[in-house]
Amino acid sequence: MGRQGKRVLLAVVLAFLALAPSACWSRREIETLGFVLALGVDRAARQELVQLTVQVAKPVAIPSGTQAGGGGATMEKPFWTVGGTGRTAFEALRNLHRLSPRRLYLAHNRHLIFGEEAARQGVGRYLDFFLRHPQSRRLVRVMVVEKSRAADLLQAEFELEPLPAEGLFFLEEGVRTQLSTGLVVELGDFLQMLEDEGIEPVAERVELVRKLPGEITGKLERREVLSSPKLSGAAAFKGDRLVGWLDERETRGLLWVKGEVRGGTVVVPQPEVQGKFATLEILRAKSKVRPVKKDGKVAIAVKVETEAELREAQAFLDPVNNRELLASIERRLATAIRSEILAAVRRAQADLRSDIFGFGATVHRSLPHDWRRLRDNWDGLFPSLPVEVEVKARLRRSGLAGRSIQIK
Amino acid sequence: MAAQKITGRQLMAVLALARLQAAFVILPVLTSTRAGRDAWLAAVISTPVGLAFALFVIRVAGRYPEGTVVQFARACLGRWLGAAWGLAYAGFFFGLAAVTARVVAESYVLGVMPETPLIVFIVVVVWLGSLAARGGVEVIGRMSESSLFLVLPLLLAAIFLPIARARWENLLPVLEHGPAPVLAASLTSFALYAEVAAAGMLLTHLATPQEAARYTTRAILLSGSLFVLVTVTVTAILGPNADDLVLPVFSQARLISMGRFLERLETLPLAAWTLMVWLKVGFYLWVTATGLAQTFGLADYRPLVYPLGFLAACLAVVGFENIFEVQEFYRPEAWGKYGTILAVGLILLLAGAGRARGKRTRQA
Repeated sequence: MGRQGKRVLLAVVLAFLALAPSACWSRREIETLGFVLALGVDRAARQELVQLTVQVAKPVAIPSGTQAGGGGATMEKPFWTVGGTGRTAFEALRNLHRLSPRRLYLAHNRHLIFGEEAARQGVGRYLDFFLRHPQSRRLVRVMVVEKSRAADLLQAEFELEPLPAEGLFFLEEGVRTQLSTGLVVELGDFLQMLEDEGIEPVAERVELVRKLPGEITGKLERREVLSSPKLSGAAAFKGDRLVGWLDERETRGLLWVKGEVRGGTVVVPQPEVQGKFATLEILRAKSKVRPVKKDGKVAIAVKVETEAELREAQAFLDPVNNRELLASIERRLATAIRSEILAAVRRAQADLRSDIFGFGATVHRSLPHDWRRLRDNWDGLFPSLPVEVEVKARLRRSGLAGRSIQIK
Repeated sequence: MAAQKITGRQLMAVLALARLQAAFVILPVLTSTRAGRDAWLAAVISTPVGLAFALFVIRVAGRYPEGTVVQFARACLGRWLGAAWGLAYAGFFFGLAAVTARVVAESYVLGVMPETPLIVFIVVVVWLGSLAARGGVEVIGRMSESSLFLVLPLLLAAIFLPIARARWENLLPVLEHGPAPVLAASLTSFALYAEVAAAGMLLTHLATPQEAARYTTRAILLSGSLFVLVTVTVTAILGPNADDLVLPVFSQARLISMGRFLERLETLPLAAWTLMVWLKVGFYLWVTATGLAQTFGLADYRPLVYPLGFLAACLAVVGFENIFEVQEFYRPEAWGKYGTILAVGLILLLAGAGRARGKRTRQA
């Protein structure tokens, strides 16, 4: 190739290079984006429309580290809640650009919130968008607001966290590790429960705790928090429709079966004394759910094993010298756990008539041949499905004290 | 031109990266088949078959150590049939270069830059590939060898960082719908292994030809085990409906969330397959250009590279109307069948002709 040829080639290459800085094609400057932190879906007043509400971070109002440390509370809310309608979730979201000067950016969204009414009428029609959109994540948490609209939850605030969406996230972590009385459900898992055979979905259950406005004296330093989210229990679905709620006990029962209890307390009556209680903290738990066949009929055997630690005894207790007492507490713990599980099973079978445990899915996995026969009538079989529960509880330690306080 | 040499490890890297690219970007064994949660079985089945084919390619090519398979075909099939063989062989890899460019461009548009026109990514990838192809087999070999050590950690991170979310019971029940969907899926998977026929162009450049079988085996086992691993984890992590996803590995990497610190790492696999695709397109353009040059008796393949690159880019753009056609391309009844027939057929033909020629020369 001569000099001339090389020059021509260079020109061609440079012409291609003009196309090459593709990074700038889809470029977005961070100041032009509105970071959506939580997204709520409700039925609109006109029933065929979707009401979509987003909570967007307001960067100018987020207190920086020094300000927060200095105690200077900001007057401004660090978030903006804005809603709009559309025939589909995506259209409703796009319609928000009539109001938002910043491009709404979903990649940092943490929560997908459904109002109770929307959930009762079925969430299936809204979900596709969240699976399809490249900014949407399967890690997003799915929750239903009891007796309220998602839009109301997105206005609620925490006393301790300036950004409600962040607060919700930490609430979830707290409930998961400290209580296990509420669910933490990610969109990916929700979709899987929705699509798989033999399991019905559950979602997080949130309530709004309303407060009266505080007495205002002198200068108003901060807007009063009027309502706060409370995370407890679970929302149970059948197909894509909300069919009912689990209370805290039943929710933990569900979590025991799923092997997802990661912490929490169980209070049992202390042996040998009247009206006094011992409190045990769950350290870890695992479960095994398998279908068993008895005379050609399928039943479910649930085995739960857990380890706990004694955290509090109201009456005198000396586990070091009284092992029988220890064994007795272990038995009471196992009984308490068993009754939580049975409460959840009863609720699912009798009230909800929805296999939120995924017993059908375990039949599908372990007895695929029987499942072929059972699958079409599983809804009819589930309410009377025999469930055997076996719980093994171990008390390993008793905190920093052996004996408890001995009052003279 | 004859003096370009590569080492055994470079051969391994080139073959492994080409195989991994096909698996990781769109995971056709899952997304283009009906095997569902059993897709990993298809991955398992196709690997030893792929290995057997790879070793067969090495043996056939090894019968003609003085040249490439294209020159071998000319020598034993005669002028016209040999040229037809060379054209088919070059065409096979030319098409694959175009498909590869299209697939990765689609994944960029889908995953990260939806507003950017597809053609931008195709042009960039093919242009980079053409540069590598013009550099020759040494450039591709060295680049592959060094890239492999960048690509492997990225792929392993995409596989293992979200592993805590795996639910292994998602893999059950096994073979719910019988063996037919799995066997069909393993055809798609094997068609990707069949691309190892490209090794037929590399062996004559290998500095130590006796190591060809060893390093090819390693390439297949390395890419095969990663391929099985990723198919298993995608199903375990994303569930049995992961076959609805267009970019399963990308979706899996999006789940990485470690202590709220390591998050949004989906760029890891993206970086990995940028490197892989660049090298694969470069390698296949080199195979095509070299194959054509040898078919037509040209002294130098390099003048062919840019025109071929231009054509490959055009084919990548017009070859598929939409992403659904790309997915359909990898279906067992489409590329699974034709890719297998083409690659295996070409090598079998060459083996037969080579044997006949061997007998003739021995008799003479």
